[in-house]
Amino acid sequence: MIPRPAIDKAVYVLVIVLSLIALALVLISPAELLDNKVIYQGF
Amino acid sequence: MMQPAFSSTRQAAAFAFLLLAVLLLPALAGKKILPPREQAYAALSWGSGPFPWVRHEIFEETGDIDIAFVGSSHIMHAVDTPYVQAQLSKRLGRPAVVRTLGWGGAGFDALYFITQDLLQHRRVRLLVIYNENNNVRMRNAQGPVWFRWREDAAALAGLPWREQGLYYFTAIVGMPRNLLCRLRPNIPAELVAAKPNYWESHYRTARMVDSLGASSSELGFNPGAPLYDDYTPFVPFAPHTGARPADVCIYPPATNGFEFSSQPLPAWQTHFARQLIALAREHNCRLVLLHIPTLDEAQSAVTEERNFWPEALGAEGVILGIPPAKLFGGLTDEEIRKLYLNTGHLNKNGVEHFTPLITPALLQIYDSPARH
Repeated sequence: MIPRPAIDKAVYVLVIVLSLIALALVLISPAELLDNKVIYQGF
Repeated sequence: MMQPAFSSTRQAAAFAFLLLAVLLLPALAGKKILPPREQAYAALSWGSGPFPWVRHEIFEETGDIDIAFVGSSHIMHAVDTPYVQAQLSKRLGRPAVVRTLGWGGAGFDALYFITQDLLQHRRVRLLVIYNENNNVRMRNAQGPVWFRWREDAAALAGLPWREQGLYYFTAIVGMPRNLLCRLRPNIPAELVAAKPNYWESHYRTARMVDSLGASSSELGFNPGAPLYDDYTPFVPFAPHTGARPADVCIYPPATNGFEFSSQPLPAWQTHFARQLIALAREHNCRLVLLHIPTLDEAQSAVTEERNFWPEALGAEGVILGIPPAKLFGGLTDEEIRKLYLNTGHLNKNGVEHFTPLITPALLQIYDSPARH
């Protein structure tokens, strides 16, 4: 049986790691890709 | 004291799961989940560029294309496509098919992926492109449309991991729309409507179906570009320059009239330029790099291109250009500005001056046997 504190810690480490990956992807990408006015505009 | 981000471990786990799903979706979503590629184009309106025309030409229209001008706005605003089609028809003694497929935002990545879609559906005999030079940091905002990881990741092999990460992120951004297309199909924008569409009215150009995808804008020079749409009134102007079709230089064999510089292209640009050359070769499609003169080089006595091109195109490719000093010979700066809508794009005056000069050389290349 895995102790509860270890599970809590693993979950929070996972949240941090995934957040950092997402942040890294945003940082290496140009602003044009995040501009919804450009990407999802509909005239 | 700051509130904790999550009220329980269960909530944190749910957030982690959501993040994991968002991050993994492009890698997991295969053909069964993604909508047909046609739907990616159908999601775009005239406000995003002439994508309804591009979609129509790739996915609806059938039959071979004799000459296709493909690329971003500079090539779309450079060539009078119906004129080239009429001249080629006259030469061939049959109705020729000449088309322009253009969009906003330069880059060889968009050119590669959109041309790939085109060549998978239609045979193109002569493909005319231009040097999709761009601000190094600018990327095509429509990447989430034409790049889907599971289908396109193979084309990234050899790119630095950071560039590959950028395209992965592009695919993540495109996923909501792709999934939505799967839930309910997009109805493509009308090609011909009672009112001019956004593109036609914004750029004051003929209907795309009549101009065969090209834009001949009745707009005067805009000194505030690209920040402001501050066009001066359009004044029809037919310049008398003494320029003749014989002034057009074709490389190879001619090297006079050209100056090849060692100015580098960004690595991602050369990567996709090489991919495009390989794609054209694979589809037995001749490639022509057309030099489109900008206002900044109007006084140049030579056609300036990068020395990357002769090496990358190899024996099969052709570079075509007219030295700007001949194209604009004898014109004042004020008169040259009457041919442009901004420093990089020709207006209707410029298109009508440029096209008849380069067309005989294009037809000559079309007729000549491919070198290998």
